[in-house]
Amino acid sequence: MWLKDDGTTLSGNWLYCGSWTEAGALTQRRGTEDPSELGIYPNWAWSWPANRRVLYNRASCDGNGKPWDPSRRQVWWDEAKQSWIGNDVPDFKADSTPKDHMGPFIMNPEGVGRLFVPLGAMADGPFSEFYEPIESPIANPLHPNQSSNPVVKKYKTDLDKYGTVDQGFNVICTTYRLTEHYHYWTKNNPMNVQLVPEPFVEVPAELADRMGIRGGENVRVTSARSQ
Amino acid sequence: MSTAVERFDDKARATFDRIGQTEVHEGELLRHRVYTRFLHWMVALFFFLALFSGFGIYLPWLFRWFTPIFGGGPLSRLMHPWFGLGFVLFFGLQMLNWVKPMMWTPADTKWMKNLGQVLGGKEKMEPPETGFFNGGQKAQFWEIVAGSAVYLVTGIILWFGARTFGRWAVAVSYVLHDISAVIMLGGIFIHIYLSTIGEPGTFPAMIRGAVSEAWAWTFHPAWYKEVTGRDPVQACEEARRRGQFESK
Amino acid sequence: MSGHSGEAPGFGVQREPEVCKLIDTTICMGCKACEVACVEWNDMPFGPTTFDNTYQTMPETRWNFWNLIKFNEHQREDGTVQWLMRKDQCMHCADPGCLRACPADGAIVQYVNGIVDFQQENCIGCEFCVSGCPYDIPKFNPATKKVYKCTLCSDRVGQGLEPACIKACPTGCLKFGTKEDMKYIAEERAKQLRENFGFAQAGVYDPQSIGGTHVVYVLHDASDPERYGGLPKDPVIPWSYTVWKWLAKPVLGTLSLMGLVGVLMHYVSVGPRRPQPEPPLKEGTDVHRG
Repeated sequence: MWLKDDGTTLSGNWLYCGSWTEAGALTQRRGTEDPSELGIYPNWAWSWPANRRVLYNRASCDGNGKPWDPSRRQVWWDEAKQSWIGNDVPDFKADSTPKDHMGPFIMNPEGVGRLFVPLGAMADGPFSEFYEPIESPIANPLHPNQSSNPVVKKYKTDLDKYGTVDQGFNVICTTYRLTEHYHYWTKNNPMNVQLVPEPFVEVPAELADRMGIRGGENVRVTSARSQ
Repeated sequence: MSTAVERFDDKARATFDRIGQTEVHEGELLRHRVYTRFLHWMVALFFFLALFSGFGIYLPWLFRWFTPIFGGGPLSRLMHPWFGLGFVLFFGLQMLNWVKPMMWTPADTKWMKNLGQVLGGKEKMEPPETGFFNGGQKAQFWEIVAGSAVYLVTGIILWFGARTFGRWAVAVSYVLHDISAVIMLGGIFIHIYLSTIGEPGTFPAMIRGAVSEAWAWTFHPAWYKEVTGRDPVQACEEARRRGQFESK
Repeated sequence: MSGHSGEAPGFGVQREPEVCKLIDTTICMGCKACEVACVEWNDMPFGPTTFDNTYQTMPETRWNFWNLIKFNEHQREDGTVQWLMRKDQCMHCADPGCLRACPADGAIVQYVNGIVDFQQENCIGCEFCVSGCPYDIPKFNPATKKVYKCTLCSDRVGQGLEPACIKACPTGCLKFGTKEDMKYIAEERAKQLRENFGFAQAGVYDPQSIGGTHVVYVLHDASDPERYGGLPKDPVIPWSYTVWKWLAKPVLGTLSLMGLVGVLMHYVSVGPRRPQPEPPLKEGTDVHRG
């Protein structure tokens, strides 16, 4: 089931496309069968877009389309059918023969996985590294002298101030999502606003007690840049 | 009752007497003044409006017959409390107007004990102690006072509903309000009967405000004596000797 | 009616199955898809809400908001907190308190399949149903002067569709079918919770104190429904409605009308009391006093 441009299909959000068909709500399927015993559970709920459970699963096979590990057969090339098949839905062009050497990492232009970041794609690298956020109240435990990412782009306008603990910014906050809204896009949609009308902050009980805040009260959230 | 009430009543009676009139012919006595008659009929009007609009809400099988009178179900329900308020207001004034003559006396207790005589028709004349109002009238008056109090309290609870007063208050008020209505309705049947065909000569009392002397010495002998100074039984015998009979 | 003794074959058999909505509170994740689906299907106008220290959309259902996920935090003995979510809406009782209390003809109807529906055209706006309902569900709209509540999508069910909320639920915690089937599924799930997941008190909420409901819950702890946003353990209709509507009203009404008959009987038997003196009785007339 794919979206068509002839008006016969409807999709509010392409991430849900294919999850509701004539067969009903595929997300509500609760099939607990796992014939391959690889933990694939093909009939449990729905994995967008095509119900494949492991990405880049062609990489589990060698150049001839034979699984590296015979005890863990995810997908493989079927010579008779001239197609990739398997216990999981192949994340690959189904009819691309192994001899064509199409790379399994189909989302990378080079078709292979990366151990390191190529130049021009990211400013830092080549290996991943743990850095603290720029406004972190603590020093990086791994290397305190370079707490945050050295190549992050810092703007130089009046608004680009960074708060420190000495200045009083001693509470770590994080933003997150709500079921009832889509970011702030739905701020003006009456249905969403009815469900969650106002922005709110969830504060741990101990911190709330220390700050003398009770649930339902108005609070002011301030950063070095605004409030 | 305080003198303030008396002054209010006197002023009201005087004002209404100026607006209206009461003709007392030969052989008649003044019974109810304009103010009293006005209040009585306003009370009667609001009673029936509340009664009929209430009937519609009372039983589903009456609903279809009574609600069209008031323009449908929702409007009956809307108007009913207002009619009730009107009833309580006018009866409140009537209560102030009549509280003195309606006070209970030992004669009334005796009258109630002899109720069988009244119903059975054996005794043609009322007992000589019967004053302006007899025991039955007073009993009904006080029943309406009590009933109106119940109406007012339960009615307000029903009007403002479960959101204001809670579920159980509404559920109980429902019952008490209806019981009060049914009791009062029973009383009204008797009241109307005795005021019209049950006791000929009574209806003009509340229409014109005057009654015949014969009616007075028969049904309210103590009041007759108070007003005319004559003995009621003697007056009756005199009339009998003269051959003066009330027309049928 | 038929040739053999005893009841006719098929007597008492119901052709229409009773429907039921099953809500498994142990699977609900509070996504509110059901709230949205209900508002959308019934084309209800939006209303203002404010933040009041909970994820719950509003404190209780409204005339234009018929189902509501109630969020409650319950602290267990060991100090851990359980975040309970229960979808609150009309329970479609088998013995509805709203129906018992309603004085208007045809304003509240109960279909053979168990759905209790409000017919607003016949509603007189007296709000007796509000006090009759043990779950505090009917809500009054002061503008139209009518009451409103969940209809169990009787319009959809009548066409063989499932209610809107059931259709929208992504987790499958809402199910719809016959009462028999839903009870079976519910009991199986409760058993699974007790045996496999350590919820020793898990059970099904289908209160018999009002004859059962056409909306049943699977609860982690069926011994304490109150903690799920005030679900009453043994809901009852105020007894005054029962006694009054079915016993006292007809009896008292008849007695009162007997008063009318009584006075007429008095008139034709004893007769009116005439002012004295009356004309003398005819000679030789026998006044029969029986």
